Amino acid sequence: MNRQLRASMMLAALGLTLLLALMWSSTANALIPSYKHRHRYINPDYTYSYYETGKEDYIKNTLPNEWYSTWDADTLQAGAVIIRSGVYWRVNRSVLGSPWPNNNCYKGGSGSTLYYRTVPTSRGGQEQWLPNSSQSSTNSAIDATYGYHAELVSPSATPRPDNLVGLRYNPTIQNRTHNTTGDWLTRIRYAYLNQGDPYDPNHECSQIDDQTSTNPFYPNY
Amino acid sequence: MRRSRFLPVLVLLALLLLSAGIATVAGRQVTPFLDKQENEAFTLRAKTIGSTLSRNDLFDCSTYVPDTHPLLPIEQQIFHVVRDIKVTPDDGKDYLGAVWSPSGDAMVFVAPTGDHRDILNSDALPSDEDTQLVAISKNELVLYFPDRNTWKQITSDGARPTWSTDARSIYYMAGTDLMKFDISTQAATYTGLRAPNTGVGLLVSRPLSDGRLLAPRQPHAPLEVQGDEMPAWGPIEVAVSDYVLLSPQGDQIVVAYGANTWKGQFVPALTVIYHPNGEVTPLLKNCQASAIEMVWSPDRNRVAYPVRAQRSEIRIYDVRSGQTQVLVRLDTPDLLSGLSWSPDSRYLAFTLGDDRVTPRSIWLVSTDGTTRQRLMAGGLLPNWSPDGEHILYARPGTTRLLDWYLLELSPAIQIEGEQRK
Repeated sequence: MNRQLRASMMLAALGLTLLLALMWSSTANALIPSYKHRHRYINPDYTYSYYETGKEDYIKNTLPNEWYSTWDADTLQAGAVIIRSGVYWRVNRSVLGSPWPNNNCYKGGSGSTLYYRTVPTSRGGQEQWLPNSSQSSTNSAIDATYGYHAELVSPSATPRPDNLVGLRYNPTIQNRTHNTTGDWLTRIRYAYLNQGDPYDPNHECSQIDDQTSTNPFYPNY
Repeated sequence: MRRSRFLPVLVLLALLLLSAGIATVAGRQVTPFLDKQENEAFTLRAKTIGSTLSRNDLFDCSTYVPDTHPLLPIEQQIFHVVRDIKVTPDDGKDYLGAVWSPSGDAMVFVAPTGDHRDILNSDALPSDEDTQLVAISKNELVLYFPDRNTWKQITSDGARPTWSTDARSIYYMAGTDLMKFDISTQAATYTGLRAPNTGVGLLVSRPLSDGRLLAPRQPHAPLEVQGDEMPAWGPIEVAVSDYVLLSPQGDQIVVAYGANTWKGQFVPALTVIYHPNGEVTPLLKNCQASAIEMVWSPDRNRVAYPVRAQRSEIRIYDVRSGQTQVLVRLDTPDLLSGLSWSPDSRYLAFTLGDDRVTPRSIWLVSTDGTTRQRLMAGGLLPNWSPDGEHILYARPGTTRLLDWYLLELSPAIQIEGEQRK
């Protein structure tokens, strides 16, 4: 009986540990819901590939191509948080009921998947997500800032994630996070307060969306 | 007694949680290995990567800080633009790029459609990451004759068109099948050669200009040339995360192995060249962005690639001497991309800028590093014709990603041994 009890309790403890682990995990992800991103990427042979990726892997394959991995850890961490903020902005617009219009190559969402067009700037696009291009230093910066996004930047800023895209897609954001001192939060605050020419989130996406698409694989909402 | 009454509930809860946990884990786990055990997967690939990583003389993009002195050849008029005409029709198709015929009188455009082909058997590495290739596009292949300004659809489902050396036919992949399109009869036939229906089979397999096929022979097998005896470089094992670039004659091959993390161990992206004599030259580390922009010279002796850095560069690696030349070094971090060799290998065309900080423009540079020319503002992806007299290039489209234009060039300087036209 005692042995049975111990075994069952161990199993239960294991189950409860698992439950707690799952709870912790979903709590950690709660800041940005862990939606899959489905990217349509242009291959060097001029065909499209469709990739599914989680948000952290998306950042890991973007940061080394938009910041410089030779830069210091604080700058790379600022970059990681800014790119994650862009992800949050997309999720917010997609599934969290943001009333503001969406563009920037967003294609919609279905279930737990969001759809984007990710075209490298070398092929006419706007961002540098390149599959299998992660690097050690940028991966470390992303892991070190896990769960953070730039909504925490400035209490005086309108608490609307849509504003954060001004950081993500500002053309000089990389240098502005590099050309200052301090930890990643200080650098983001500096970059945010010195935005220069901000990106207009209502500017029409340069990658033209086919608004009439009925392709169920790549839906348009 | 009370405890034992709750035991079944606790056990049930534990089992439920466990099964939920297992289901969650199983749900999160992409199925990289349906047919292959982890311990026998990618042995050849791992061996090449292991020996490459043991080299400490690799050029590493993640640590490279360029010299502060720019390398900018003298600006000089090398070519005049005689004509600049838009070629792609406003028919709603997404023309993403073209392959010139060897004679330069035609090109095949690749135009992806909204249709796709699922990747059912992925050839993915075992990985801690959750990036997964799930599908590839089906594409129209459209033949264009510039002189006549005429268009002819070859197929509604093709990829990686490759001209035969005599320019009389075009080989292409229709899913897993190697097809041959005859220019004179305008008919496509199946060649009898086939790639397996896996991620590598569908994404990496490609025709050679002599009608052979570079592909695995079966699921999860190394890449080989089918249709003839094995080339000296032997079998090359790649995963779906890797990129393969054949030399113009198909006897040398660049493989860019993608970065991956497995059980917490990070393996960086690595680029190597497989030579005809079976040797493998390690070339780049952490440079996937450079590797996917790499281009072979028409004389097959060199590869050129851009390096993204705080002072961006264009580099040329000479496969005979093993030497690397920095051809261009900017004094800015502007993106350099879209490299294209002139047919005589004397010039490189490339795109400077990406319209974020610096507007795009197309430049030429002589590969001896003496002269450069800004050919035009606003373009990208230059693609030199085999006769050297035209450059196809793109501009961001108004109703689609890219519109394509054709430049006609005439030499502005006397080229040694040639008559001015």
